[in-house]
Amino acid sequence: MYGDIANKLILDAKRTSNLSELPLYQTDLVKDILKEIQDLNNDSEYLSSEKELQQDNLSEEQLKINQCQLFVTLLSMRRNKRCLLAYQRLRAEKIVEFSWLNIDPILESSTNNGTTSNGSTANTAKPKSTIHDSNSIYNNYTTQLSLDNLNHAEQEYLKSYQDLILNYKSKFYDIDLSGDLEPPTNIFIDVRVLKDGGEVQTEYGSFNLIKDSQFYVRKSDVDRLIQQGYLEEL
Amino acid sequence: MVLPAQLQNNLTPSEVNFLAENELVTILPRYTMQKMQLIGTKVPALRAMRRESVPLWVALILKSQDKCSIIPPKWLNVAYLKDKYDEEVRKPNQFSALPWNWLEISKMLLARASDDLSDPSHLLRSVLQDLREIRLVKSRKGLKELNESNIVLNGLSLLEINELRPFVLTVMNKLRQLHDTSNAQDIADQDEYEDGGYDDDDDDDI
Amino acid sequence: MDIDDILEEFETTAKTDLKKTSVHDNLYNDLITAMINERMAPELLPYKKELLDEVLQRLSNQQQNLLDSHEYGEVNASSGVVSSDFKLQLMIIETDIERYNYLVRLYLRTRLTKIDKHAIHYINETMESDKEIRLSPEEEEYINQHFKIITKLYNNSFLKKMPPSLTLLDDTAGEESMIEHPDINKHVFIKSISTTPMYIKLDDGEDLPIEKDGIYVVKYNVIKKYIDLGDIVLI
Repeated sequence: MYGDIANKLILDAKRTSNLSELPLYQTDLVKDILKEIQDLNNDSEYLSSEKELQQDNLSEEQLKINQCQLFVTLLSMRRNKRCLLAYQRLRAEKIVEFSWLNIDPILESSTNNGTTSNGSTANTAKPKSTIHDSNSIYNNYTTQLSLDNLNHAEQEYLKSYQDLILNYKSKFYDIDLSGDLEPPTNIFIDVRVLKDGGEVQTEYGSFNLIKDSQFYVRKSDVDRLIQQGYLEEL
Repeated sequence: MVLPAQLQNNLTPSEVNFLAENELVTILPRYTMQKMQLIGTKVPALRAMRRESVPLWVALILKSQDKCSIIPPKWLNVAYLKDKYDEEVRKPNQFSALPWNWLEISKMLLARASDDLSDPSHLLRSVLQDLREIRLVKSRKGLKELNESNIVLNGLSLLEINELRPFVLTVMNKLRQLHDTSNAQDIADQDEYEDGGYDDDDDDDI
Repeated sequence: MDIDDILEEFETTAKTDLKKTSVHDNLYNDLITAMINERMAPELLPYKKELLDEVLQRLSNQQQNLLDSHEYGEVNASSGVVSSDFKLQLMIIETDIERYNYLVRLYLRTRLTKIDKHAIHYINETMESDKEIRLSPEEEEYINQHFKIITKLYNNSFLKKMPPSLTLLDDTAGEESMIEHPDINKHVFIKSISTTPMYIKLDDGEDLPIEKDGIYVVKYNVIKKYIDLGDIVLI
């Protein structure tokens, strides 16, 4: 039935809206829908011309049937267009989401080394910790993007959009617009040293990693040390 | 979208907490500190044992470094809260007046300044819980009377409102749509054309 | 220069800021109100230019002060002049900066989300000269540029491969318009901050009495003008 393929596309979009990444672009489905629109367009042209030519020969009932067919054909075309728009809009929105994180997309080449997560570990120190918490506000937010999954037009869109927000952000140089959207509650924290290490330099002075000593420090200064097991947050 | 979906038309619990951190509390400093000019406000000069009023988030930083104790707000004690509880029982059709952020402030003070509170933590927690529950029951009862036009929620705090929000808005907007459709039907019966104004069908909310 | 001078510095820059006739005696509350109003309103509200200009200016000054103080701390770290109390004060100042930074970030990104959601609607509006201006110049640039690149995306992905009758993006022919408008009849939670009691006219012509500090759920369009006047805040 007309519209069935478009329905598949919408189901794909519905699934995509709950993902934190963008799945492969449905090139074949889109192509099939465009083909269907073309067929429908041919039908509608045929129906219109038939109506024109045979105006006098057709009974009132036949005219009504013709008109009804034409109407349904045009509606089906428009429905297909709406589905394509909705599908592409959702994908564009996910590209927008990802762009605001200010991290690098996964590149085509990295899939070869078997370390697909390379792209996300090389990112700048953005809200990594909150991103992977399922309760966080970044749940369902697009936090990963593989360039392989985008069609050519989408890749171009990604690049232009990144430039666009770079330009917008440059107008507010004191504000980190790509920063964390969780409220800044614990900027400074108390930590305890778990194992001895060297001296740590921060803007707020230096301190020595001596087991069991405690300090009040800026969280972002010691995130790495906590991950490496030198410190624990109290 | 530029903003995560969870942040659109809704506050997260951590945001409500953030907003509550801005309320003023009275502290009893343990040391002397010069006055400080912050971006929108001033922290007065602190002298040991002289009470001052500062935003809660400043108080919590000072408290965490043992630089002050926090004077609990006048409503944060068992006797006062028990009174409020009795009032809730006595007046089944209204909420007793509690501060805009009573739940958040009591939670933070219990967690980070429990030694400054006048009553034992477990007693306070229990009466706060009772109060929260009786108000929850009331607000649910009130929701039975939802309509398509308006409702009154006087006395509820921000956190309590935020919890009701998703349900209330979904139901009221559905009722509104039903109401509008039946109205539009009436109008359409009289007149072929109707001017619907803005019309947002949520087709794209896939 | 010693620590006292440094802390004095924070104050003098703040005072010079204030001299420039600050209309916002409670900057922080005004910023929170602006952010939450924007979050909860179904349509884009006018950009709070004065407020944002002042916040950004003060943020910038305070950030510079903090940098200077850190530098001072570093230079004098070895001499033992820098007390832990001085550090604690800087920590409070930095936390304050981060809190503002976060609010501005949310405010601006909330606006961009709404702009994107109803892009064509707001673009059309900016072309009508008699409408009030909602967008900041930065936002206007953003909306136009974004529309340009997203149109290109739609065109290259499928629109240009369609029959001529369907290639328009802002198609309004047929049953349903493909342009989305904000729904100003949506319900919102409001709180009255007006000191005098007032009445709000509802759709059905009835008056709803509004008490001070009262909390209500009403349709956005009936209270819209009171947000501007500052009698009502969205919550």
